[in-house]
Formats: sequence, C-alpha cells, structure tokens
Amino acid sequence: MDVERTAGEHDQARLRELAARVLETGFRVAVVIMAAGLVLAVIRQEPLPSTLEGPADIARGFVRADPEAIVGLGIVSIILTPFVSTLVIAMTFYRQGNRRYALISSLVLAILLTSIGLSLL
Amino acid sequence: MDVWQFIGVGLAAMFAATFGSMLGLGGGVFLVPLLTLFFDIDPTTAVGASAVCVVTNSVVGSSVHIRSGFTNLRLSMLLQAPTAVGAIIGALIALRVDASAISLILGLVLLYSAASMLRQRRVNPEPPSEGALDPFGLRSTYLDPATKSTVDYLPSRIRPGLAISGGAGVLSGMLGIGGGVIQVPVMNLMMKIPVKAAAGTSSFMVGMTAVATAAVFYAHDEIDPTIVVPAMIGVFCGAKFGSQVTRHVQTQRLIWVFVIVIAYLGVSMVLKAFDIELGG
Repeated sequence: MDVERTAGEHDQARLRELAARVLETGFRVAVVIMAAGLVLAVIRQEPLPSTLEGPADIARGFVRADPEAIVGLGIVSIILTPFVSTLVIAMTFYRQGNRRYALISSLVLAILLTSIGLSLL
Repeated sequence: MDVWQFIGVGLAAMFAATFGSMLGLGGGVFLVPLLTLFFDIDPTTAVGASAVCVVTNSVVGSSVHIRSGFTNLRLSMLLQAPTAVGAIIGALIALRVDASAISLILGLVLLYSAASMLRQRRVNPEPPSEGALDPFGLRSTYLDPATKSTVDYLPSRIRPGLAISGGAGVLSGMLGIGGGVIQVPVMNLMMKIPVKAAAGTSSFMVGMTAVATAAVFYAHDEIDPTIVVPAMIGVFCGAKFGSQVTRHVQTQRLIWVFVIVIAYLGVSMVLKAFDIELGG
C-alpha cells in the first residue's frame, strides 16, 4: 500500500514538474517574441494594428521580420501554451500507464483542437 | 492609443492579474469592467482582450501553483472536458446575444457565489479516512506554507461538479472570463476541496477554457493588439506576484477577499444590466 502510494506520488510529482516547465517555457518564448516585435515596431515607428492577423499572414510577415506579425506571433504563442501543456500532460499520463486520465486529457485536447480549428476555418 | 492609455491598460491588467491569480480566477472578471468603464473600450473588444489575458495569467500563475502542489491536475482534466465544450458554445452565443441579459445572469451568479461562500465557507474540509473510496483517483495532498501543515483531501460529488463545470464554461465563453469565479466556490463548497487547492486547480483550468474563447474571438477579428499587448505586459507582472502571495496568505483572508470582490462585481453587473454604472 505504502509502496503503491509512494510510486503514485512520484508519478504526480513528475507530472507537476513537466506541466510547470511547459508553462514557463511557453511564457518565456512568448515574452521574447513579443518584446522583439515591440522593439522593431518602435525602431521602425510602425503602430500596432487594431486586429490580429490570420495565421498565414503572421507566418509570411514573420519571415519578412514585420513587427506586426512578430507581435502577433507572441500573442498566438501564449494562446497555444495551455494547449501544449495539455498535450504533455496527456502523454505523461499515457507513459505512466494511467489510461483513464490519458483518455480524459486527450478528450480535452480534442475539444481545444476543435475550437482552434474552427477559428482557422 | 497614446502612451498614457497604454500604461493605464497595463496597470489595470496588472491589478486584475494579481487578484485573479490569488483567487484562482483568470482576472477577466475584473478586466472586462475596468476596460469598458475606465478606458471606453468596446465591450466585445474588451472581452476578446480579456480572454487572451486570462490565458496569460493562467500560464504565468499556474506554473507556481503546480509546483506548490495546489493544482490537482487529474481533477482539472476531468472538469475541463465539459467546461471547454461550454466555453465554445458560450463564445458563439456571446457574438449574438443581448449584453444586458449576460450582465444580469453573471451578476446573479456572482452574488449567489458570494453568499454561499460567506454562509458555509470551508477553509479546509475534514481530511478523508485512510480507507475512503476514491473511484476517480483524485485524492491529493499539499503542504500549506502559511500553516506549515500537510493538507489531505478527497474531492466528492464529482458528477454534479462536471455538470456545473459545463455551465461555468458557457458563462466563460459569453463573458471572456475564465470561469474560476464559479468553479472555486463549487469546488470548495460542493466538492469539499480546500480553498488553496480549488484556487490552484481553477487557475490552471481557466487558461484552457480561455483558449477556446480566445480562438473564437480571433476567428471573428476581435483580438485587438493595441489593447492586448499592454494588457499582457501588465499580466506578466501581476500574475507571478499574485500566485506568490497565495502561498503565504492565510486561507481565511483569501476567502474574505474572494467574497468581497465577487459581491462587488455581482452588484456592478446587475446594475449594469439596468444601465446603472458603478464606479465609472
């Protein structure tokens, strides 16, 4: 019983560490991208747009180092971070042999993916 | 947008993120009224910006809550499925429904939550017995740094919790809030989850809920970077601070802050439904 509980606690600690690390990384990546876009916008004296560009325009603009697109990518990066953390949580549950929660996390992931997919149509 | 408005929006978002992170909310429930009342920003644009800020607040604050052990990741996944479906439905409704009806519904829900928390608040429910049944594998523990004691809890009444989470998701999508303002009292009062664990779990969930909302607003060109960028900067600063404060503040005080804040917002929203503004 104690051995099972210790193993369960170890799995939970590992899961927590991974989830926290994904969130921190997502946050840092978004901050760096957004800061770069803002600095470029100030240097080039370009105002921020009043609507966020679509994913294809952001990708094209990012290649051209367009500040508007870089700031947009920063915003999209932060929006996608909880999605990535859910993906990592689902994979970790699966690796730990917790099929029930792997399935539930995958369902959450599918719902999030559907909402993101609908927005891109 | 001029420099002063940029700074003002950033400070408003910082305030919303600090309190939101402390209370397990996304902060949207503070940010939407602040942006519309004090910065004359269109409500739909405010809701879109708020959804992005709620995601940001959750990402920053949750990393601290998860490491503290306050976040029950299994419970968050279980409740998130109906919440996310509700959020998509709510966001689609928000783009079509009359705003005063939404204000009235939210106001009444907030006042009910405040009254419930005040009447029967559970700082830390009774710990479960060693042999207590845990069919969903949700039993968890965390170390409370404020009391330096380990808190053991077993969430109960899971099925009603799932149903209410779906409803919370609908309201989240309609209002650009994370839904924590409903989830935290439900988890604490109905599911017997200690306040800090409810706040930590909710803090993580609101980010996932707001992703669904933000995606719908993005699709309808309602994410305005001139509002979102300064607000995100404010959230970056406020969320970390709020989640650190939660670790050390006494739970009883956290409940009082929660009750006062949601009661004020509840009254504001009900009055707003009848075109009476508070503090604007």
